[in-house]
Amino acid sequence: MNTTAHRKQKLVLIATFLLIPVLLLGTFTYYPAVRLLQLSFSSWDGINPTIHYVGWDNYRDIFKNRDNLDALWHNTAYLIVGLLQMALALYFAIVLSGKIRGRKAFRSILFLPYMLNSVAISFMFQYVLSYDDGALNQSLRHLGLGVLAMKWLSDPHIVNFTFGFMNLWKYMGFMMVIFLGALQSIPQDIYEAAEIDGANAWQKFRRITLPNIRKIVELCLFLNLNGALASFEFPFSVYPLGSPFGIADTVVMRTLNTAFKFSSYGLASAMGIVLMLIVAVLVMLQRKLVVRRED
Amino acid sequence: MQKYLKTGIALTALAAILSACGGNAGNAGNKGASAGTGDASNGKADVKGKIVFVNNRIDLTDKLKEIAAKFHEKYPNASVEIQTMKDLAPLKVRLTSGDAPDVMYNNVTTKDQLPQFFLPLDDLGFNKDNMLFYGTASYDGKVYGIDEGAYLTGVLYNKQVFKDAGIDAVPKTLDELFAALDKLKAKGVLPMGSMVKQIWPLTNWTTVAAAAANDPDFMNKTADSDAPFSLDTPYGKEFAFIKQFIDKGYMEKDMASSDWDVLRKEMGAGKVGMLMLANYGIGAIEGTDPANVGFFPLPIDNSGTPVTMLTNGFDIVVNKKTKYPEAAKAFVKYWLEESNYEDLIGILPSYSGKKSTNPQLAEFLASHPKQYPINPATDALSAVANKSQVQIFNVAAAAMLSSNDMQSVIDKFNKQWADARAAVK
Repeated sequence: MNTTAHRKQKLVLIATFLLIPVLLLGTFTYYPAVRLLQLSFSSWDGINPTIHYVGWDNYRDIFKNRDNLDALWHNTAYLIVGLLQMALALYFAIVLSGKIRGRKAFRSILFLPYMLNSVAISFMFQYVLSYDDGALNQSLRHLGLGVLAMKWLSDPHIVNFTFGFMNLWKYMGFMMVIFLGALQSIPQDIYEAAEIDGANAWQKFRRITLPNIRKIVELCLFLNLNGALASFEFPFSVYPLGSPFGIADTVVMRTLNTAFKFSSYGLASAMGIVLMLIVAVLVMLQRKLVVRRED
Repeated sequence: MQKYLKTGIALTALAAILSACGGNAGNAGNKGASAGTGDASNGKADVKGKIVFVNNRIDLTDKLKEIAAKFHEKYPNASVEIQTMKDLAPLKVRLTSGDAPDVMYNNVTTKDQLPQFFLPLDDLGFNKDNMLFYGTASYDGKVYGIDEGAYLTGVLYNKQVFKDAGIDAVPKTLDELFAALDKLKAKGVLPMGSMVKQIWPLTNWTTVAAAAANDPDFMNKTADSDAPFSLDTPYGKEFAFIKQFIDKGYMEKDMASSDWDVLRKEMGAGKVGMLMLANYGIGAIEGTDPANVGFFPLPIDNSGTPVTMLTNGFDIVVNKKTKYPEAAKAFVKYWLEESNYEDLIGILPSYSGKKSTNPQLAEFLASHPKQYPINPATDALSAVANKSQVQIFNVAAAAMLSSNDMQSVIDKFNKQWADARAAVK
């Protein structure tokens, strides 16, 4: 008799504890997601009390519009720079986990940009990267390297990489800290044993470090992909009304403007769903590739 | 048993907190209500209640507080709280959720949605003769929104820079304008800032299109055209006009990075000669004495009569769900007739009973420019514009950036517009 009463008590307790979190999850995550899917089949303008449903029209419009494809292309620039960001983060993590003087100070300095507000960072970089009188171009010209003084924020071939760099500047420290944590979980005796066997630095890295932090590398690859496809804060702060000719527009910028500037909530919802599907597909692809590479 | 007791107490506490939160919403309206013991004169005691007005000038909160105080003096039983928001977009969400302020600016609803959200304002004593743009925010014969003031486009300039470059008089013809720009170029000052980076300042070049069209509805008529940006249309003439400035080298080499926020400081510092903007820019030039900022209408030909485009400012509307409609309407009347807000931000008062006392506007109007008013967008135009996602200033920016090959830009945007027109039908 005791056990059934006990079990009932346990169930009631679990249920009451779960009630509030599940309610919150439902209200703020699942309900909006379902609503988003619903709205993506409509032509709602954000203010009309009645919603007209238009079937797959929104999805057709998305794929017909060339500008959306261009925006996705811009996002890949962030992806490429993101890979560089991962490599740098891993490099600094390895260097700064060894016994170097002042390594705590270096770690703090590299992590500091993550604490800054993205809008403030983009304002700062706008002044630094301005073509005529920005600090970067002026220094390059002063050093006689004027030929390298590019139009960082207005050349269509470079601008997305510039924003990718701003991303790198802010988030590399964060990734480095993640890698540091992972590195510290590898027991030191493996390294010592390898040294005794005559392994050099590269072999130690490839055979010991990488396999042990594989899960973290996968996580960072996923974060990188997600971040690249959702990149928004830097180009939007610099070009809130869209870039001239759309040279630096990203998918999320276009979605936002579609919803709030052009009052096309239905189309914007569809864009959101499409982006989610793209992320899902790409992440699955990435996992297959990574798992195959690591033996 | 004890476990049940603790859970029960926790749940009761939670329920109590939640119900208290729900109860607060109703109390907000009663706070400012009649505490006045003053004599009721001219029915002013009927105007009572606390209302909220949302304005977009976050840089003017102190002056707005003064206006609110004066309103309270006039109507002792009523008070207005003027809140400021930099970006008015959240108001749309607040409207749909029923939580919008009593008085606000409206640029979110279409005409047929006006009666659902706002009160008619026909009883305020305004009409077509004493109020600019009266009746443009109306539906079914009732007026729901009243225009706060009109924007005038023109060229901002730094008076000291002009004097130093040897420009004695404000240019009234196109040749004089080019001569002045040449003098500025010779002096090493940027003759004219293009402001392409922000994109929105380029909307002021539509002045040229307005003058070419000579029709207040020319913008609305683009909703009926499949090629509104071609070179023979008013917009096309605007692009050709701007091209002259680019070809003569009066603008920056890298226009895409021409930043209004930087330029307005540089104009104050004397490094930029002219900026094609509107009267709302007069107060935005930083780094120099306000009296040093000048404003003249744009000459587009050699006739000696410069031109300016008149566009409507914000429409003021009263929320249908307001608890104090008399106070809200009294405030709207006060705002338009007595608050002097127009002088504060340098726009032309829309009420004919008010004359602007802004010195730059006076200088501007002394040139007797021909005024081309532009009627606010019709629902048809908004529908096509939203569907095509084409905004005139984006087209102008693209045209300016590829001024050597404007035709391909024009073709691209024409096609987007035509596709949207077909889809919206």
